[in-house]
Amino acid sequence: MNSKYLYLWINFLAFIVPFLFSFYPKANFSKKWKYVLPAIAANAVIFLIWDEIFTRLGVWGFNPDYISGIYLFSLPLEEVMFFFCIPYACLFTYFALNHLIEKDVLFPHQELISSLLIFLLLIFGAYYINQLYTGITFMATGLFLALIMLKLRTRFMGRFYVAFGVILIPFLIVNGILTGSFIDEPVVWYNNEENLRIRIGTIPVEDVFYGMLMLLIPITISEKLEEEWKYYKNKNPW
Amino acid sequence: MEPLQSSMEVSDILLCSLIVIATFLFWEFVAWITHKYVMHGLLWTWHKSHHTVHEKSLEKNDLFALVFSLPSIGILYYFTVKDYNPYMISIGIGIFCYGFFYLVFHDIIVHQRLKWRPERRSRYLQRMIHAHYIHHSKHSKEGCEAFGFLFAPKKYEPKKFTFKKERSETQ
Repeated sequence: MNSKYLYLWINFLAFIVPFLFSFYPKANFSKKWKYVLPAIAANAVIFLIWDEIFTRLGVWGFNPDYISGIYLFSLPLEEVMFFFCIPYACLFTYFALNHLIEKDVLFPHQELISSLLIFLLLIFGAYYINQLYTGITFMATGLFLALIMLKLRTRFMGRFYVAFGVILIPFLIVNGILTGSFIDEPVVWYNNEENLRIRIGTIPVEDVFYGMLMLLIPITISEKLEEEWKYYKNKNPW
Repeated sequence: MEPLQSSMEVSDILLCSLIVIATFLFWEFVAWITHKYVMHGLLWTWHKSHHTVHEKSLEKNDLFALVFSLPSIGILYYFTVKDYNPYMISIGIGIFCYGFFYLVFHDIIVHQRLKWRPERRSRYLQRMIHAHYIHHSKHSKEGCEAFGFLFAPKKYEPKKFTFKKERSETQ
């Protein structure tokens, strides 16, 4: 395999399996596309703008050895695809787990889990505000969790935490490779001046909360769209 | 001894004021989780005294006030005397302001540990007071509601508000 296509392959493999299973008749994920795809698109816009800014500021960057060489502004094509392929795979996993596990086991504890996360993320985020990756990621994730818990008052956070726990396994593999585990050099490098320098293997710890926000936003939008759609259909049957 | 830092930019003063306000609001959140999950959880043994009708002037629950004052005292001491940092001092002031608000609102206005009450009360202040009366309508570790102090959701808007004048009525 030509190493120039490594990042492209990672995207493709992460996407293709969930995509093929999206048409499984008993739990047909493709029927949810009308909520899921707009949610992924909206999320991608937010993350692409953020990514472009952080790339220009040198918070992180990309190793030309592992990418095809096609760029959109400062971002390699593969990085742009990442924000479509990975959320698709994760939302698929979230809906598949909701189908497989009937009981919402963490529902009684969701408020406590969110409260502790908000507390820690806002304190550490504010304290490390000068390290851009740490500060911005922790504050943004903490504030979004607070928005969900206090304002939107959604009922899916118990299920979200279960799904996120499961998704951490593929997360460790994909992000492990991207940050240089198992290969010679990282595909994506991180400027240690802008993070806590705490790594899980090769993965900066901030990635866990960055990943959490990258899932939380599309799931929230998609769940809201589904709710609104059902409400609208109930009121206006045709 | 280090020279006293006497000049601050306007932008610094603005930023520090913002930090004080943000800390004050954030501390309502901290008070709310602690109240809901620690006081009505692991440390109910201390908090129980606050949900019991009694005539003593002090209650075991007052130990919480001592514990909660430590972060503010610690931060203010360390970042003024040991290692001057105006942003951290702002955080210390924010926590202190919340503590002062709590003393006046919770211990004086609601529980009447000192017999003083504001004669003019805004609708929102009445809602805050009413929410805490509802919190005290149960005397148990579980089953209570309205754990916040500064933030009272609309559902706690009283239909007819009567101010409780005796401390024992509020326990």
